[in-house]
Amino acid sequence: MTRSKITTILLSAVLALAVLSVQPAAAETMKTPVLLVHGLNSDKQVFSGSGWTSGLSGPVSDPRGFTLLKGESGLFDEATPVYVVDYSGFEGAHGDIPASAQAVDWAISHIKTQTGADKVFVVVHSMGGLLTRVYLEGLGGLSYRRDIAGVVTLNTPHMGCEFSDSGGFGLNEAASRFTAGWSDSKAGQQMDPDSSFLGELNSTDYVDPTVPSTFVVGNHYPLLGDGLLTAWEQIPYMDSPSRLHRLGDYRIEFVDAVHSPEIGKLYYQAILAAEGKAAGAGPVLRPIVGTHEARAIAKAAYDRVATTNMVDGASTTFLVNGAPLDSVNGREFRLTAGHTYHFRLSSNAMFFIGSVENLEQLNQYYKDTSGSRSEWSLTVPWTTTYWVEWDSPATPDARVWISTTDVP
Amino acid sequence: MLRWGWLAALLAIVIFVAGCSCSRSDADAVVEPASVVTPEQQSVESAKSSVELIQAKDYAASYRVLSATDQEKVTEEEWTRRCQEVEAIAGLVETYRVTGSRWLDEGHTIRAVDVEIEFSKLDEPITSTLFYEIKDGKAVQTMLWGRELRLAGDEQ
Repeated sequence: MTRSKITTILLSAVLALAVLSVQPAAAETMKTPVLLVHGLNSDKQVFSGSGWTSGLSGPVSDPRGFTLLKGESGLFDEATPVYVVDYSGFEGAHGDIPASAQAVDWAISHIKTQTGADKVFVVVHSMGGLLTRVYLEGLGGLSYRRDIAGVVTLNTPHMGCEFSDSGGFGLNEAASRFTAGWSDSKAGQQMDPDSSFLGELNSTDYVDPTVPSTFVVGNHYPLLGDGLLTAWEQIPYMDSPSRLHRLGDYRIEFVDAVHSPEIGKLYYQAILAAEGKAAGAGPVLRPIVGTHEARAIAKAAYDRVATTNMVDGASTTFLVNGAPLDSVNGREFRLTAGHTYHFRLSSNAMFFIGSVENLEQLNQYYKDTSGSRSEWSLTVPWTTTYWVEWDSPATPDARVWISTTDVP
Repeated sequence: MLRWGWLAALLAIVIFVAGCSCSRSDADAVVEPASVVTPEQQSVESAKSSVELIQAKDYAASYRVLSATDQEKVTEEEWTRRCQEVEAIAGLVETYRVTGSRWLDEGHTIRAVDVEIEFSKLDEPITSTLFYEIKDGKAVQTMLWGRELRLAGDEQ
């Protein structure tokens, strides 16, 4: 082999390596984890056996009465970690709502630690939606960490529950026993439409209004909605819809479903009692968590937001956003201080990155990193969450890759 | 003299009545014809009618005012059973009043009408909402099953 041939081969190899180094490598991605949150007087069982998850295992407990369980495959595919938080150990799941909301805060933190994910997608039933909103709005002494990828509320009493202060609201004896337990509770009082708790909740915005939110309304009965909540009560901010409009991405979807299996059964028994008949099995009713419509809505909402999720430090090259940008004009990711990252944009556009947590230094950082260029490297000053933004209407097909060979 | 007095009084009455009738006629000329009803007004009137059908326990009629799409998803028998469950639990509608209405979607196709209802078995009135799809200027009641909506703002 001549020297020139060897030189040619070596040069080719060097060129190939150079080309490979700027190509986006196959991403090591994981699916965004899902957290399921039950409602008042309920527990982890509400989501099991109804198509959401086929089994629960590995409980992790918190002294406050919270338990986090790992779900088996069900609605979501094998690559999606599914968790259920059970807060029935805290005053029977009818205690103070802001205090109960600590269960959501705790569960999300724990899931992020376990999976390495930046964000968690949350699906809630009934009062679980109020717990999640307490966290999203930074109320009850909680500080929202911008780590919810999206939220779906199923039959949540966003505007309260008229029945909650009616002392059993005139139901027959059995039904009254069911409701009396919670209408007298702290959570029941807080779900009174006139409560100061709901007043504050519905007069406070999300800390991050870009969190995609889907509000599923159970509308089974004429005039009575899901049997416990009217349709009106299941949509947040109905006293001032402009506040709802400030949410960047929200949907309201209607399902022919009752609030819970208990409500459906009680209602049928009440009919029999009114007719002077003995209790019977009754017809098959449609509790919201058991409907395929609710599962399909939740899955579609998840699929819209959970395309990729970075694994920080697990690989030397990774993909932050592999999907073409849509109308969402921003992405968040976590980088480690002192390491150099390579940024590449698929087309020239105004592009900048900023730190979420170091706002006071953001202006300086913004100036240093903005510009109409498609590639550059940057040594990151802080270990924190950063975001990227660019003019997406001008570059609707833009993609961004962030890679590093510096992270151990 | 007395006879002339009566005649004068009679003439005055005739002139007065004629004047009144002319005034009414003038007034009629400037008001909108009663047949012009906006979809917003129509949805409110339909909501009143829907509640009154349930108040009268005419559940079959309350089924017939549902949209064709809804009727494909629920039978009259099933709808009647649901109405009976509401009656068994909450009692009969005693009084009601429309408290407001609004567009529910950006495209202004769905009108939501809020109604405060006193049920005989409930301690306090509840706020219910009835939904109307506006099609070709007509308001048709719908339960919105399978629909996905965005709200349209503060307008009422």
